[in-house]
Amino acid sequence: MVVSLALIFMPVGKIRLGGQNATPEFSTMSWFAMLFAAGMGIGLMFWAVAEPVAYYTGWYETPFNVAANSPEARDLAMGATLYHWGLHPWAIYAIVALSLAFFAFNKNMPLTIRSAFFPLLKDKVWGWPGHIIDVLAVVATIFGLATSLGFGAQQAASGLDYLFQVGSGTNVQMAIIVGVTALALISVLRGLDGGVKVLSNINMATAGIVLFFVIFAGPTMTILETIWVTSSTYVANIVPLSNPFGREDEAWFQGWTVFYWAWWISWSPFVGMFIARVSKGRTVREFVTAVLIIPTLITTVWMSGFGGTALEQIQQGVGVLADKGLTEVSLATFQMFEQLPWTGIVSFVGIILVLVFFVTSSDSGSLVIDSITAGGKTDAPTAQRVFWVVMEGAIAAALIFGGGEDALGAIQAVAISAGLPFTAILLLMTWGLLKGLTHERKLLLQRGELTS
Amino acid sequence: MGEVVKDEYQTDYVAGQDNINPFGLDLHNWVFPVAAIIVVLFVIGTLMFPGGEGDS
Repeated sequence: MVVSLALIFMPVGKIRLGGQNATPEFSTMSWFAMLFAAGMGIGLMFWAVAEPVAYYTGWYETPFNVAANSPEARDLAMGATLYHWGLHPWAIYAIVALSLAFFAFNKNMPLTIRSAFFPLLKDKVWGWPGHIIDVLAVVATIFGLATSLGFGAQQAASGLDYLFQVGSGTNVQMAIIVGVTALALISVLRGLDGGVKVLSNINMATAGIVLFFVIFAGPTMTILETIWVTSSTYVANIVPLSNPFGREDEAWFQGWTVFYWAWWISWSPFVGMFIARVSKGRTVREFVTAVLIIPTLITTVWMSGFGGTALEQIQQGVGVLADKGLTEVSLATFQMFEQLPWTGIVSFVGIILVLVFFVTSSDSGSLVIDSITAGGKTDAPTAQRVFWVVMEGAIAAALIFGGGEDALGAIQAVAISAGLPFTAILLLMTWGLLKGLTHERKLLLQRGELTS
Repeated sequence: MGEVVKDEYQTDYVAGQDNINPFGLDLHNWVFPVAAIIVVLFVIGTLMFPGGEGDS
């Protein structure tokens, strides 16, 4: 995170991805929408309510062991939630994405994970070490995506059952997976411009409408106050929350913070590759600012709107969340919506939002996997992406059929376990990136393509 | 005169140079088949040997 923030101010920030004459492929708004949908979309729908409620009520421990349901717990609930969804995960994505983009667009290397290891392995990276790196990245990405799709199908089925009593069994979950996969296929066939870009724009517009509705139909003044509380508590506690030593809230730290870091790290090859793919033409400064700061600001407002409303309901003794606390993560957002006007409509729009986020994840995931398995080429035949979209759905369906939540949890645990060794790889990537950018700046100054 | 800086990050490797083209596709000759086989075997194996309750 420190390196990411420093890159915004360092002289290397003037380096443009793709060369000093490169121009961005997408408009700024479309670019923001794609960054956001790839990185975080689905989780925000479920955890924006569930996580603050969990911390406030002590569903699984509280941050710093503060007393549950206290004013201190309320402030920390918001600050700690933003801690897990703010600068830290986006810094991870920024470093991975910038490494891949720099070596691919500025050094003409293939757009694959292995290219980021060129500073370490030099030309050996095109041989067996690189094959292993890329295969691991593909397997981690597709299983991570399929697991999320499987969990998401279960959660969406729970939501549909809660609202419309359609049942939430395997049949409904399979139908959701088939539907999402079919829509992702259509998106793939329409290409990046007609597919994931359009869906991401739709997602951002719809999410914006839902957020404004929650802010203005909900406890508006409380939410505005919560934005300040969330930000200030986050800033005040970012260092203590990051301290891994001598924690009295060890159970909370391990159960939430360590889990999140491992989960974000396990997603970083996918999200990093996708962000790299859509960011050619941006300067390093623009890139890091956009990837780090903008999503954190949006997440602050989103968490404050959704989570702040939920906590207000609990404090006022209103609704299911106040009555029973957090019963099921997948239902928490809908239970919050129940206390707002037009419940049915906003809940239905919420489910559509979740499903479209799944489609964009599946689509962008297939783009990433295809790039890696096509040796770094970004113009491989569409049939290859179709294969990977179908495989993502097939894995999710097989896991649900074969073992349900237990099977999904087992695969998720494997994906998260890979987060620890990948942390070492991330540090190596950071070193390689700094070395590469510093060297590039010297070259550009020498050629007169950059002014100091 | 300042020292001339040489580009240390140059490679002769070209994206796609190890690719194969069966049926008009464009596949890395090792990464695609290994990853595809792992995924397909996993799906077949999970369907043939379900581990527990499929309903939740």
